Amino acid sequence: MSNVTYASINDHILHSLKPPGKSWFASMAVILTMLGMGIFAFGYQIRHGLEGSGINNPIGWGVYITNFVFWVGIAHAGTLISAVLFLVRAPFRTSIYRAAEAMTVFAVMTAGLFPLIHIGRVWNFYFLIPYPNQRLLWVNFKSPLLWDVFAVNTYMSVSILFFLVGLVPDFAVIRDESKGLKRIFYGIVSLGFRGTNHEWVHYMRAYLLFAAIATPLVFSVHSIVSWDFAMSSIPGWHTTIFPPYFVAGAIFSGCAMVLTLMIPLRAIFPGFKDLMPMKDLEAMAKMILFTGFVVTYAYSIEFFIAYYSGARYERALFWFRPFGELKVFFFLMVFCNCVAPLPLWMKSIRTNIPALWVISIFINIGMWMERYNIVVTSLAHDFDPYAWGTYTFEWVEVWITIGSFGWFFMWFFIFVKIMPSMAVAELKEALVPPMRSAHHE
Amino acid sequence: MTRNEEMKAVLESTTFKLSGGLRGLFVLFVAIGLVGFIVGASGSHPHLAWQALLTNTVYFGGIAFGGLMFSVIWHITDANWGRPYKRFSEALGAFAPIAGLLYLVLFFGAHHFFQWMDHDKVIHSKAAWLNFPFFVERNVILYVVVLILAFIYVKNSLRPDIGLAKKLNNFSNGFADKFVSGYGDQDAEQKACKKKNDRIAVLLAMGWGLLSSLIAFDWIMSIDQEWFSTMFGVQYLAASLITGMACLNLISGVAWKKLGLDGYINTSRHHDTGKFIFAFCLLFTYMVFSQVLVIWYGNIPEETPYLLLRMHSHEWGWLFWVLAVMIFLVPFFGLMPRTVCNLPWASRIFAIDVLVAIWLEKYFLIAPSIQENMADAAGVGAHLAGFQYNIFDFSITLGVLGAFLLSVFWFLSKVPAVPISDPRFYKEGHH
Repeated sequence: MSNVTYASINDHILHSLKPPGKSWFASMAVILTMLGMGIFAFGYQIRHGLEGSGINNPIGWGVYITNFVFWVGIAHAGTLISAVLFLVRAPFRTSIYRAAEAMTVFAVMTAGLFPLIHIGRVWNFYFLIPYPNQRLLWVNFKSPLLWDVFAVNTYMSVSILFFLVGLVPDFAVIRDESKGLKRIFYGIVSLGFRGTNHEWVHYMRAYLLFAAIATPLVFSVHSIVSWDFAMSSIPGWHTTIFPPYFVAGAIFSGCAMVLTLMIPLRAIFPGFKDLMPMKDLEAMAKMILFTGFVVTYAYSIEFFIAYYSGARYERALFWFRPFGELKVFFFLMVFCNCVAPLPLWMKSIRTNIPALWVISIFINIGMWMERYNIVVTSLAHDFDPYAWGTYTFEWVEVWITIGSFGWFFMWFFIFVKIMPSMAVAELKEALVPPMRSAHHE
Repeated sequence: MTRNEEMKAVLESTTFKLSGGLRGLFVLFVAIGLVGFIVGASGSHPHLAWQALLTNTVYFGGIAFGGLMFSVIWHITDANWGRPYKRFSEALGAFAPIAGLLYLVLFFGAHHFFQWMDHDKVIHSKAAWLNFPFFVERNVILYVVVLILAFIYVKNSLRPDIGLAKKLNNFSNGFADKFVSGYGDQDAEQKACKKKNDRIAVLLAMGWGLLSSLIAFDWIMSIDQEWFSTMFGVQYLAASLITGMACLNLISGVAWKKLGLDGYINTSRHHDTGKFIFAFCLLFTYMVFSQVLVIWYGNIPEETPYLLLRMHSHEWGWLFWVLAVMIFLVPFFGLMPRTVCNLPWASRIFAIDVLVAIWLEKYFLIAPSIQENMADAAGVGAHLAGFQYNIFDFSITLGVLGAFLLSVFWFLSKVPAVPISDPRFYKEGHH
């Protein structure tokens, strides 16, 4: 980072906050169209009910729950990168974590919509929340679905707060560099941060504690999401490895999404290439390799134990996944999650931007397929052949899914224009390294 | 002081020989263990001796690989903080070949703990996996493969250190010299060995993951042939990491002052070992909790008996809660204060606590299932013996512990006890 100075960091990042150009508006038009499709489809669903979707009996969970798990999964990488890697002092997080955290916040916001979309009578959404009422009706505290309400809400609150706490000194930088209304706005959101020693001491302490509090959430949220499935006794769902397997899968997909977003960001804004060196992206690629291996291990162990258990329903289900009528989704999942990341073993691929980006897209697809595979196949083939069924998704579900991507990218595009997408203060910290200078390379 | 002079001084202060007294004591341990095992295995309750040997083999074998894995992890992640402990972690791995021999011995007593060895009792749908020839084959093959990878890894890690030690201090002994045949230029050797290990380390980590799962499924889970849990392999893996780090914490506390490593090991690095025990204990608790909750909630007959015996039975139920306290509550609250992690004597208490707890955990996974198999063989109305810590448990544990300590200290006395050629091995605040 020899050509990087305090001033150049400010310049590059402030440059990214300049009023958007034509390409930004063009992209936003596409994004809003996608969102519009989603809103239209959702409106149709409110008018006509869930019959517009492919959900049926026995397959009561379809694309919506798949999307929910998918987006919660995406939301994992942000807190992992910002909190866990902060605690273990991994230097490669610095350039990536801000955008990853933003991604987390928007992904949870997207995920949170799907239970509401899925419940059908969306105006009754507040039934999910336990509150004292005259009817003495309570939610079912024994249900993992309710635990999920708490888990996702907690995660969303903490990740938003953590995100904003990290932004405080950076907002102060923008405030100092701007005038007029903008200065007042950033002055308010920077909470009057002036960068005195006293403020930094407290700030760093708060940040560390926040990181420590956020870390267990990385594990708890997706563990609880996995229990939505594992607590039942349905073959293919009821298995003990689900929590760590889901957590690893979430990090896997989250890191892939970070690459999917960061690579274009790095290409679009001048100067970001210096701030986000190749080795940071390579480190993300290594995280993907590692979590990809964990996920592959979990798939294998599931098959092995289904065989080893001798339980005929387990065996039948794990025969159905690769050889039944939904096998396409299974093999897409295996290809995208287990095979597609393998080229990353080679350094030449890990440091090749287009290859990295393509692989990250494959993983995003693969992780969606994984959730689809889990949700749908187990419901399609449970104990009694009389109750077997099949599922094809309808246009409403497809449009709402497209809409969710529109929703997510809309927020992300707004984010890159109003907030610094790299952590200004921490990038500067790395220039005069307090500990990392201990060895010179 | 140049780097070489500094490393020469470090080498001199860390060169270390196991004193005759200690060596005698450990040999005595091994002798007690041998006598205990022979008496037990040929006595009227041979299963007690075999059970003790199995418990200790999976326990100390877990420490050996779990310990070695930290060196591998630091290598893969380019971590700086663990470098003073790198050789110690490899020294823990010195027990791995002996654990392999113990597994070979255990093959001969397998009928004492595996109900499925009996053709009439094996569950038919599982007979293809649970059959003895295949059991031996897969265990031997995977163990040997991982052992070879571990050997290559350790060899590449040792080579530049021994080479440099030879140059600086004329370091030489029969064992060390084997690693430096045809030794060339120091820088070139360092680079070459690191490059080789970049690949080997990853393969070894993956191989170890598979081996841990196989050991957990085959040697522990299949004692109760009806029960299964997909998490079981990772649980064993996490337990190995806890015990490996606990050993490193104990070594760190001693080596810091005794081997004159002050500055290389410092408060912050010692603190890290404590933090990792804390983190792995939480990880382990998370894994056990996830298993218990899923099985309890699902409440299906294939899965619950295993937990009922271990959580609700009069004979064993209490131990579950003892373990919950020892592996979760005690390290969780004990290691949370920074002061405790910083002080060798204080963190040592918790390292010992988790080491004892994980031993009990192995016993807790193995013994009740063996007792159940025995009761099953004895017929209706037979009772379980419950927790009966006996003379065989004591003597055989002592024996394997003796062999473990001998192998670790022997290894450390034959090679440079710190990675002197490693550029990431440096004195804090001294660049």
